[in-house]
Amino acid sequence: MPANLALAPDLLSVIREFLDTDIVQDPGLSDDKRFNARVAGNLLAMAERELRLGPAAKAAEADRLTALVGAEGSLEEKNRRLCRAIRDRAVAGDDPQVLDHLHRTIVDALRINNPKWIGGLS
Amino acid sequence: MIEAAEVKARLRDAVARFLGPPGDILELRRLTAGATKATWSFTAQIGDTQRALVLQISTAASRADGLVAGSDAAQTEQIQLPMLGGKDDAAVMLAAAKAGVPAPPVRAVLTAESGLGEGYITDFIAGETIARRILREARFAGLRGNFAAQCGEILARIHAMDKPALPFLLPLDGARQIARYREVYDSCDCPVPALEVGLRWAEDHLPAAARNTVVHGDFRMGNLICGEQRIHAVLDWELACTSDPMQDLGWLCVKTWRFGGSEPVGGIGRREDLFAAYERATGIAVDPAHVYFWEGWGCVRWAIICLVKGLAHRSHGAQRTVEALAIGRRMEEPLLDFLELLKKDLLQNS
Repeated sequence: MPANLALAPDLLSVIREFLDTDIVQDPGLSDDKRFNARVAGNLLAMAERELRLGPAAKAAEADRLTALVGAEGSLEEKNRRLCRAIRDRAVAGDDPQVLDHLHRTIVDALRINNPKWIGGLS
Repeated sequence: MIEAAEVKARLRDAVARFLGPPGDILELRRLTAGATKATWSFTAQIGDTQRALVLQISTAASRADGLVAGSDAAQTEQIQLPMLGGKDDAAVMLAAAKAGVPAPPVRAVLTAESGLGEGYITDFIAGETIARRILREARFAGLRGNFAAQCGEILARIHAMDKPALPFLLPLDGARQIARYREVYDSCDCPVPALEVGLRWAEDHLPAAARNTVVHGDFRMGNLICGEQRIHAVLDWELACTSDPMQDLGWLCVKTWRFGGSEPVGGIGRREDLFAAYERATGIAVDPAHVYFWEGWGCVRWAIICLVKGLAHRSHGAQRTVEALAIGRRMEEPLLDFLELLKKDLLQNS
């Protein structure tokens, strides 16, 4: 693929800008369609951040899971093993290593899905 | 999905029959269009006056009798959340009004024969539901000053509603609710370790309930029509059930429903004011730790709802919407809030 073509992140950001300006600000748009166009723009922003941050976040999650439940299998299989261990009470409900892993995993997901949410509870 | 022209024609017949002729529909505006319900506001000609009304249609039949698999069960084992259909929803609102709860007055209950689906027509209640405005605009300063207390008074009335008169309400106390949501989560077949911790925590920390009453199930900022001084109406009764009444107090404080506000009650009120007003109205003491449990469980429950919505696009044609996908991507918000609550140790003592 020629290097000068727009790459996936460029496609997403240009489509998002089109939605956020041309579509959302169209005065002829009905309220529910404007709402959905805005939501669609947010989803594209998530996709952009996922392309940028997702691979490192997944790799870090997999490494932490390996330390907790072993290296075998895919990320999903490791998550299944951790779920099983929590449900079967093979780990304590307040195990600091597990809670630390969950916290990091959730924060990494929020960096993609809604970075503004990160920060203490009011 | 039913379209505007079709709605207009059928709505005219329904209005003429239940509210009076001629029933001409002068303005029809779609407010929301969800996968399971659609809301329209309209003006109707009744006699020589024009009335502002709201039409609510639920496309799904009542699911209060239990969790039934989705319409395309062959493709998915995903279990649906319990939800009242239009007829039962309307019955709860009528009972609420009778108990002194500000609920939109129901003017007509529609069956499938209306051609519109199961639903109802209520008066249009003026006011604001958009949290961003209620939290920030100067004109709502008066409301903000006593919002928590008003919520306490209204909840006390909801919890005094005549339970035997609403036999279709699903008994969904804490233990049943946790078990039901675990089933829903399991049916998603999507392993989320933080949800496992949340469900296990809820099972281990569920406090004994002193009472079992009618609960609203979704009493929060966003579902309340607010005027500049008073809450004018409580909306969205389809998650009503019978349970521990402290559920409604905890859910109201879940961080998601603060919409960025700094105070726990809907972002604008103090817990102390909510509890004090509730105590004054009921004569029953509120244990803050007990309410914290329901706030923590509320986070877990909301995360499961997000998960269900986020996966719905895989199987339910009607739910392949940007809105459902966006809600799915919100799952980590309440999970982070739950972990923060755990960390603060606020919940350990409940």
